[in-house]
Amino acid sequence: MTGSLILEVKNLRKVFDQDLFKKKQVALNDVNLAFPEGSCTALMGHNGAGKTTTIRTIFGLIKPDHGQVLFKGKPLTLEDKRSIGYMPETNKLPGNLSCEEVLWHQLRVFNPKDLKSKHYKEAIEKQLREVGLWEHRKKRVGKLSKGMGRRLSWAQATIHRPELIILDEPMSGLDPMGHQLMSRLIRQLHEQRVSIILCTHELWAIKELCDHVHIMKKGQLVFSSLTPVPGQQSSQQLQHFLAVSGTSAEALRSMQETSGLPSWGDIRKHSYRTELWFKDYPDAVKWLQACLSKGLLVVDFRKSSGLDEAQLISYFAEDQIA
Amino acid sequence: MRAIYAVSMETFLRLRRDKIFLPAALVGCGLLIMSGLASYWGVEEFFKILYDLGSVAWLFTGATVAIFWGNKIISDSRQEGSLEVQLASPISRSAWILGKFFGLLAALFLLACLLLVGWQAIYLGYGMGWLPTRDLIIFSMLSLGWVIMGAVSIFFASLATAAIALFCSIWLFICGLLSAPIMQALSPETPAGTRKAVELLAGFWNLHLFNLSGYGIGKDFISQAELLSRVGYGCLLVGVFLSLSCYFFNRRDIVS
Repeated sequence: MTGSLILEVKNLRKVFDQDLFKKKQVALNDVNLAFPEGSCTALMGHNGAGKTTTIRTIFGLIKPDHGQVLFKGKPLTLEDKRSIGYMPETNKLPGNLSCEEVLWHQLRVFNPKDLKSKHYKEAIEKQLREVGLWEHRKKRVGKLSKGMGRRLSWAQATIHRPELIILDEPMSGLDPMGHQLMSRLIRQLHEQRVSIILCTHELWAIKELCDHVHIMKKGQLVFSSLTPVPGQQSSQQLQHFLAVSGTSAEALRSMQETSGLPSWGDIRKHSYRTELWFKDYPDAVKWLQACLSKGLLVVDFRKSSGLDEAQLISYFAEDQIA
Repeated sequence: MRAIYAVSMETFLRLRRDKIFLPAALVGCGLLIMSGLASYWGVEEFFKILYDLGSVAWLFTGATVAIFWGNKIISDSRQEGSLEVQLASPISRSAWILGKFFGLLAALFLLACLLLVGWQAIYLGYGMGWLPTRDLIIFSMLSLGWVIMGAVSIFFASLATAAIALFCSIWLFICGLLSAPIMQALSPETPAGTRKAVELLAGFWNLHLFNLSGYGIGKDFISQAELLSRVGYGCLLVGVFLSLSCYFFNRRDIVS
């Protein structure tokens, strides 16, 4: 597993000393996280669960009391940060620079190997057009709306073509169009095999965009779809799903018996579609081929975290504290 | 080096656009011109008043701006959160502090150039021609005082909140101006311990070392060796404050 991990957090512990008279606050308590290369992994949890502290520790903004961060199996160095992009929770941009200047600065800092400085201008234009800010390129950051700021943050985080991008609540404060754009951009990156760490509260985003999920609570990891955590409800291994529309579970069962198809791990019925969940990719492919040959309407087929909404919500319930 | 250059470019650009830049340049030039007028109408020797008032105007305008900017470039980055994004990129904390300092240095240089234009205007206004090298040295030394105050301000801003950092920097600026006069004003009855403590403080922290306006009117100018030792001492102070900034900034958690 280690060979295919882009980032690993090992035994991370951080205690904040608030002041002399208050008790110490354990922000991270022996947190172990793994992020596979080329996948989109969600980092989920309540406010104050330790997600942002984990991200800040990954970047060295917060010094951990114990533990380490590994990038491709080796301790993360300053040079490795060249391959990482970061989009923080809120728009953290220099207020009196223009959109164009923010990206110039980012390129100067990251100095991407495959992009010569004479091509910076074209790269900036491409990036700003992609997020729909080209018309506003001369506008100062302080004058941008929140949604435009989020788009600029995205452009800033991805202009140097990182191998790994860490997105902290990328959808927060966005209107429906912004949501749509952001999920399209995340999907595009995912398709390009860029590794993504997505911190979010949005269950639909986890379901739609992520391959794996880590759930944190009170500074601890309480669930991981990658590796079972002690005390975890169940180890979730179903990651490939096929959604068909216009058929029933009974019809699919009889199809399995008659065609000798492999059995599914789980079947979930939603309002207009039925999802079949599989542990192994080849089983999912056999079902896809069978459905297509029978002329069934396949509405979705991909890898996912394997968690449904109810399971995700259950981890937020107070009685689930590990 | 690249990271330092990138941060300093960004800082310079932001300071150049800062709302305080133009007023500071105008007020500074205005004060210099007023010192020219005051010396013209004054009862004392023209050049003495001109240099005394001019150097005070130069020092106070620049040092105040340096303190304000030194504080602002750190605390603004922290408040708006761009500090977090920049330190998440391949920039070490020390490189970030140095980049901020060099950006401030460039902005102060630009301000000094504008003030120098004001000073030159006085010279031309009174038909005294172009500025002599002596004046350029005097104002460069005063500007070194600004740079020191900028480094002091960055030092405090890197380890405290904006308000505390501003207070401490102004307090240290006043100490630097008063330490030498206090030392000179001590009476012979002052206890030896007190005298030693004041002398030690004034020996370490005396901003008058960078004010050469007294040499402006005499025939003898400061010796080259003395000048170099003062420049060296100024650079050493800047180095000490920046090193301390880097040291403390490297040790703390960045939580915006």
